[in-house]
Amino acid sequence: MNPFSFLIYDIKRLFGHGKTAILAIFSPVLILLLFATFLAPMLSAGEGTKITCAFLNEDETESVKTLMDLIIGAEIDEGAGAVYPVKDIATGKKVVEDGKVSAFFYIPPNMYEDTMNGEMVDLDFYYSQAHAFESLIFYSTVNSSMSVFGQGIRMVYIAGAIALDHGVPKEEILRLWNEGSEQLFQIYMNRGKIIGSSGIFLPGGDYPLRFAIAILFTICSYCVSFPIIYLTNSDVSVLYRKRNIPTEKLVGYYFARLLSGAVLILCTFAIMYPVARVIRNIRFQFALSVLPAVILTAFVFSALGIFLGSVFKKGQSSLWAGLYFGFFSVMSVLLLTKSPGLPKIVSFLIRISPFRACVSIFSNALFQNMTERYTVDMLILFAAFFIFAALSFVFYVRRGSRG
Amino acid sequence: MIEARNLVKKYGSFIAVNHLSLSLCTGETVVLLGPNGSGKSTLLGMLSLTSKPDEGEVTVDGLSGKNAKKKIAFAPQEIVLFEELTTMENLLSWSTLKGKEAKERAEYLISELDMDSFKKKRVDRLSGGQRRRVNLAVALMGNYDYILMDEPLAGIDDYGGKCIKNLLETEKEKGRGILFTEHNPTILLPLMDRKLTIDGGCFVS
Repeated sequence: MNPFSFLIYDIKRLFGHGKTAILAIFSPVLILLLFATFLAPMLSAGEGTKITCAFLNEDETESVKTLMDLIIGAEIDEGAGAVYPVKDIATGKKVVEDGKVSAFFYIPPNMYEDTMNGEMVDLDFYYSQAHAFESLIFYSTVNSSMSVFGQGIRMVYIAGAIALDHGVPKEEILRLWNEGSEQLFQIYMNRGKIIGSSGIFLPGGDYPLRFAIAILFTICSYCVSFPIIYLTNSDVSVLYRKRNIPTEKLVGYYFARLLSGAVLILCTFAIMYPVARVIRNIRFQFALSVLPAVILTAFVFSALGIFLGSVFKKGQSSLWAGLYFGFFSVMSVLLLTKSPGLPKIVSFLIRISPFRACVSIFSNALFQNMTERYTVDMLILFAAFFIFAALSFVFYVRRGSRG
Repeated sequence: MIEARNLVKKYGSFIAVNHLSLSLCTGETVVLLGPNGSGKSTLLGMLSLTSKPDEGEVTVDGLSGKNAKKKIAFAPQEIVLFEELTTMENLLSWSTLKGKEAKERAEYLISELDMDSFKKKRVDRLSGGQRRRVNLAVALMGNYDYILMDEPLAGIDDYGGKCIKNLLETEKEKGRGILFTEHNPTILLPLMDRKLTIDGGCFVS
């Protein structure tokens, strides 16, 4: 039998339990829709996550101060964040390293003037790995705000120059300038109107929604590995043991299962992704970064499913182990987000877990692409894939050929 | 020749097979008789190398391990099939043959065991007797010298039994050694060269 037939037959077997396959693929859609209908509005309207950050603004311009007040002040007023001013960059970095704050944001001198002149301005952002999730939202908030602000200021500046060329008095231009800047702030900060929300737009309140969607994506794709666990255990513990299966044949069966498992999980993603797009409008360019993450995640969970299915003798034990592994993985991700003071070794183990990397990569790739974090998570997933693939291969072949 | 020497298999304190030795030559057909729980299936499991004896050893043409396994076709008593696949897909999936050879062998077995009417049907939708035939056909999808079967006629009607008998006759003519357990081997009696009766884990005749 050629390798392609191995794959086709195994896909047929995995999808062969009609109702099981439909349940595995479509139940995440139901979960996402229920989430969007009942939980998402609560999360969006809730207090959100407390973001603690250090802040140093060396640009004394009034407009920058006003903008930062609008962005950060609103978060503080709503109880979504706490900001600690620091006196210099070294102190800012240190409080991040010590775990006292999630992130440190630095605005250099002359930012306003440089922006007006159309020059590139570098804003520094530091965060600790333990606070990667909440730091991401702070980063995306400030990054998008400053980007819109910079472009707006530049446009107002160009408009002012044109007005000056046409002989408009300087006093009038300054008046228009102030009004323009004020309008820019108001429109930008109240952009929630576009989606029907009134008041200042609070990205901090949006963070739990993003996090929840990322964790739902991960949980749903992990749950799809249960049919893989079940079928693998039934194969290696029952079927293969009762027939004489040559090792080469078992190797073929293994790779077919690894691929077909990944295909099953990818099918679930293919259905979940458009649903998530409906729930939360995802910008298209970020969708491309989702693709490698989705493929790699599918392979990691497929290999993990085979491992759990072949490491235990009994099917029930495999399924229970899968359930507990998933439960503890979710708990550990939540623990890492909420409790920065975990023992170093525990914190490290959670940080390198594939489950955390999946949540992280989806929260990153689906909404805001931070290349550095994306790369680290991809590396963790690659490592997890190789480890699970190697372990599952050994157990699968050994158990399947044991007489 | 399959040669078993001093085989012992225990389940806790219960001795299922007690110091049994036997041999099966190519071209020979041996039937293993005995009441339920006498140790027939346990002995067959060890002879087919799907289970390991606690004591003693089994060699196939002087070989042991993987190389010995390749020489044996084993049809277990339980139905061991991929339930989600069709008859034809099962034959090809389990086959140790490749490409055209596998397809030709599958077509041959389908014709010999009269499975044409259900070759495209999923096996979980077949009757007990039809599944039993597929179970046997799957075991025969390879290049082997010996055929071991655990109650191949269980649940099979007379017509199915005759199909199996004809097929085994051809296999015997090709020089393959055949050993099977059976409660009522009437249909297969013409093939039989030797009869062994086992009870309480020991040969009684």
